[in-house]
Amino acid sequence: MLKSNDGQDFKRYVVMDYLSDVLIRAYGKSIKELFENAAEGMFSLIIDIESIEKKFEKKMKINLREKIGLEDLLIIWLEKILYLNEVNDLIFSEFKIIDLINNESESRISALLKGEKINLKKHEIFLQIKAPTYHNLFIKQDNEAGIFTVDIVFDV
Amino acid sequence: MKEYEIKKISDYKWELPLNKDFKMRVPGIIFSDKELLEHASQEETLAQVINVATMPGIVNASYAMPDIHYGYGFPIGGVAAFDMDDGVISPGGVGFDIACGVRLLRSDLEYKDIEKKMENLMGNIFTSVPKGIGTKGRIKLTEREINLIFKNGAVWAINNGYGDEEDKYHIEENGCMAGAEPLNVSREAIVRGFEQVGSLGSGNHFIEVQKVDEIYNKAAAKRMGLSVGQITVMIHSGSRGLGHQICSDYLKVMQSASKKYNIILSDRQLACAPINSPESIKYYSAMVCAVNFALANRECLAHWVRLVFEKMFNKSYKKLGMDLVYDVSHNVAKFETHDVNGKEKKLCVHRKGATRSFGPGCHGIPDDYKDLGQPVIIPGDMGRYSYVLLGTKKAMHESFGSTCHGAGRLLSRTSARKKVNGKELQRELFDSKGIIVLADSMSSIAEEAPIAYKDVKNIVDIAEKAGLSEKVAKLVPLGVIKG
Repeated sequence: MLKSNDGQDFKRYVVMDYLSDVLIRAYGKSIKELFENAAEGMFSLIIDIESIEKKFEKKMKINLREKIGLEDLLIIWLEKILYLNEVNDLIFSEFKIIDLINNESESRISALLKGEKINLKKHEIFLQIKAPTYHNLFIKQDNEAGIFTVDIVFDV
Repeated sequence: MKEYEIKKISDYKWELPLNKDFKMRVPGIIFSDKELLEHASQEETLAQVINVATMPGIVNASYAMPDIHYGYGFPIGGVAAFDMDDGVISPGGVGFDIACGVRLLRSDLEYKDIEKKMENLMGNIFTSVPKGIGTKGRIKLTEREINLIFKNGAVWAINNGYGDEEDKYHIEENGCMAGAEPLNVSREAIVRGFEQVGSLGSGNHFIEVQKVDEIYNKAAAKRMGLSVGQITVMIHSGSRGLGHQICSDYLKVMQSASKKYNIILSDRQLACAPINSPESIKYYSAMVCAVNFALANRECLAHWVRLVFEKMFNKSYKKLGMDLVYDVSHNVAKFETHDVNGKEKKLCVHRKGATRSFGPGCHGIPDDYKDLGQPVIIPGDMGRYSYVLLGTKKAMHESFGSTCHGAGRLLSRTSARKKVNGKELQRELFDSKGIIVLADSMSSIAEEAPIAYKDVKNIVDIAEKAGLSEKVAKLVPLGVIKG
């Protein structure tokens, strides 16, 4: 749970009803936290996060020598995690962003993911996510509550 | 919610008139009956039809097929053709699962031949088909081989012992789409594809053993080798992670390209570039690689299924008559020549959740089906039925030769999961209809429950009444493998 400046409680992410695909609404008190929660929300679609043991840590870096929109950076962040999941059969339950920079000359994320290799005898895969989409993708900020929100539609 | 003006053209065709306030360049045309149209309007799907109608160079209309539903960017069931001179190509108009499609295998077997073996048969198919994450592919490709797949499609599978020589004549583009350029496929996409050829994937992908239940067009069914009581196999899959990555890569390219070419987007998922721009040329050549990967994928999947049948019936698949009826994609962009106001014009036709439905005599139809029209395969849900249709002459004028692609969802995945228990549904389908459903995840059975889908019979009937396709055969499920 997150607590906003005006005392409201927010879940870190919510899976919303979306007809053909899946929509995650993520919240965060900072952009970093918003990105972390979006990643966890995405992973909650793939697998029961509680069933994942933190057996190893994986460093992840995104380094772009240009300024891109925060929404674009969010898409790259989520895609990179999906890539690790699909190519290396890795599942994660913790997504810690150590550094997030998005300025005039660069867009960077360095993060530490914790999880394990998938074991189908132990883990049930709910679904495979094809990709996050740009559909109606806007990071909003409620200044009074001090909360960032984003709705992400995933193609599944 | 916005109120849109909808004009009735016929009982099965409706127009969203040109409205400059919405920056529409062409009207929207929806093939639907009144009831389904009301449903579509509730879902704000109409806004997505309108958004597509704002895209540069769109010709005639932004079309919606009878199974239209709310997607992202383009609606699912959307068809848009673009002019070669001032039109665009949009990766979002094809979708992430490039060349997702269906194929149908026939057989000489009848229900009585397989009735007692069903459980074993489905169990064996289930274990012989890789699904995706956590399961190893049966084929590990090298970079050289994946490049050969990009260029040769299903023909690669056939040449490498994973398919049948005759199959290619019954696959769109003879099993291999021209225009691939492997250099335009990213390293990430290639790596994702290494172990994915011949794997099913998840979501609504499936392998279904079916029985032909009803024939509507005897002559066409006979030509396709279909008769009542006979066993068929339907396979629904696409280009897997490789195709998803190509779409993701080029969506990013198109975000900048849209700005570069001053294209105003009503939704960033519609990002696009002029057809003859370097960005579009690159995307198209990479998309073709994914199309060919998908064709090879379905060829391999069919091969695994044929091998299981061979083992179960101690006969070669050839002797079992397991020929390919047809293989058709429903997420793709193609250059096609169509009649536009009495003139032949080359266009780039995007079909997203829509099937090509070319009429008799059209270019691109296999010789043995040429006088009938192009076969169209429409999967329904796991508890009811699927259909084989034929393309029509009328579709060529009405929808650039396009029709529906499936039933269309009625419930979201989350509501389906809330309403249905996967395990109970699995038991109920077996007890009431004898249908064996196998899946790694019970929640995926719940998400794909029959109640989550519209009745595909209504959809194909509307498509027929609108003149977009004609019914040939109805197939009922006996066993289903969910990805």
